[in-house]
Amino acid sequence: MIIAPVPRKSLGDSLYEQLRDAIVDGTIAPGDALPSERELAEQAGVNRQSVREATQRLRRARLVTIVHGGGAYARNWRTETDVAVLPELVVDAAGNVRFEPTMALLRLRLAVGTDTALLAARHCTPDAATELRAAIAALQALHVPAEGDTAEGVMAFEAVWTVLARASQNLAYRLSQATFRAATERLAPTLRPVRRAPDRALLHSYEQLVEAVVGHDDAAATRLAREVLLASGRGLELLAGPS
Amino acid sequence: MPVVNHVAKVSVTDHLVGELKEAILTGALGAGSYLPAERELAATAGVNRQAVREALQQLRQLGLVEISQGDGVKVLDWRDGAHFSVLYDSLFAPDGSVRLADAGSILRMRMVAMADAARLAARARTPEQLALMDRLVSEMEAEPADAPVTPRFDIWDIIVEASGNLAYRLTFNSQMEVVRRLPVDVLLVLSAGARMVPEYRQLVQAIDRRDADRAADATRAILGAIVITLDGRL
Repeated sequence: MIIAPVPRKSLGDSLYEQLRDAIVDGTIAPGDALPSERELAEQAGVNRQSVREATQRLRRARLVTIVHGGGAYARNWRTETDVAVLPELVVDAAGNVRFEPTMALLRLRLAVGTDTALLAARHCTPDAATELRAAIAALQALHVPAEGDTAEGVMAFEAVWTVLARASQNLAYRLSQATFRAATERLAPTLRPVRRAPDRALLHSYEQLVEAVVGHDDAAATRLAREVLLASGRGLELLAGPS
Repeated sequence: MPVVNHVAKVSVTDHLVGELKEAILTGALGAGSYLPAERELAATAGVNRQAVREALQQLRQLGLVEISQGDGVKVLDWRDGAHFSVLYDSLFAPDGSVRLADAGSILRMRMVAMADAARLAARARTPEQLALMDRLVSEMEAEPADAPVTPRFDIWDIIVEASGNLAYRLTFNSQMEVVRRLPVDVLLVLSAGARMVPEYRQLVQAIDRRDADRAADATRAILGAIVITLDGRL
């Protein structure tokens, strides 16, 4: 088995995540002041430099405004942030999946993904075809169907989507796919216990999807994209649904 | 004066991030290449190493570079992996002109996302939201035919709210980020659907009748107008 390197999270990053969660959950409401730099440093047991890293990152993520003099105030994240924040919303700092943003993301992904496949089928070049087939070969080599949804297997499906998005030649779709992949990366560690049956049918649908794209068959590509995204979505729905 | 020092240091970092970001987005620093060493960057930019480290961390958070111990800072293919916000930075070419293909790419995304949001809104809208949409379309209908074109965003704002879907709210916000950056003349060119008043009326009627399919079709007609102009077909 391959052990993935454990990310070394800086103190600033972990403080950032806690504050982000508090803002997203509404514990710190829009317009509320964050505790002062000194208070945050004391409560979190970190130095002022780490606090500054955290608040600057919150500022860049548009979760807070920093006023002259250094005070930070929560912004209304629902109106101020954008698609880029989605991966941050699906799993909280404690590793719990959040239901609403995960379901919302899957729905956006279904809409964007089917259109990505349609554009890919329309614009697929010989180079893109080669890349797509290589991504499928990598999937097959992983024996994903035999092993079920390991984190590695899930990321191999994402690799196919990255190549599909590239083939679509639509920049917003490519960056959306990067966003979806980042969300999956966060969700992947929580996946294993959920899926019961190994899914050969899903791999087969992916093979067909790629062949439809390579064969410039818009209609089949759209239908198959919808099929694979719904199938992956069902797994996540089981995972994220309220029990 | 600790506050002043702090502000100054942040802007040095932000400045360095801006420069490196531009070099990566324009391809001056291509995917697979390596950034100069931290020490060298600090010397060239005339900043301290702490500022360089912070700048590199920001580039990492934006998905533009990969930092590995011993191997240095590697530039990634940003189109495959960057933070969505990089889209806004890529809207303009170095000469200041708008890259229409990239601006158009989000208009296509807007069309498919809003069509599904309209579908959800047809099921979930409240009477108040419906009344608001109706009033906006009535205002459009009352405008003389030769009135200057005004891009419409208010009605989509309500539809997104009525859809109750957070991801569509965030997609709408992303689209507005693009809109805010575009010069007025480009924006007007991109507002091909703004005059499609009868289609807007159909949209509101479909949402009124809870007809999800028709609501989605009307959305594609309105927001697809510009996609056809840019792309040739839907």
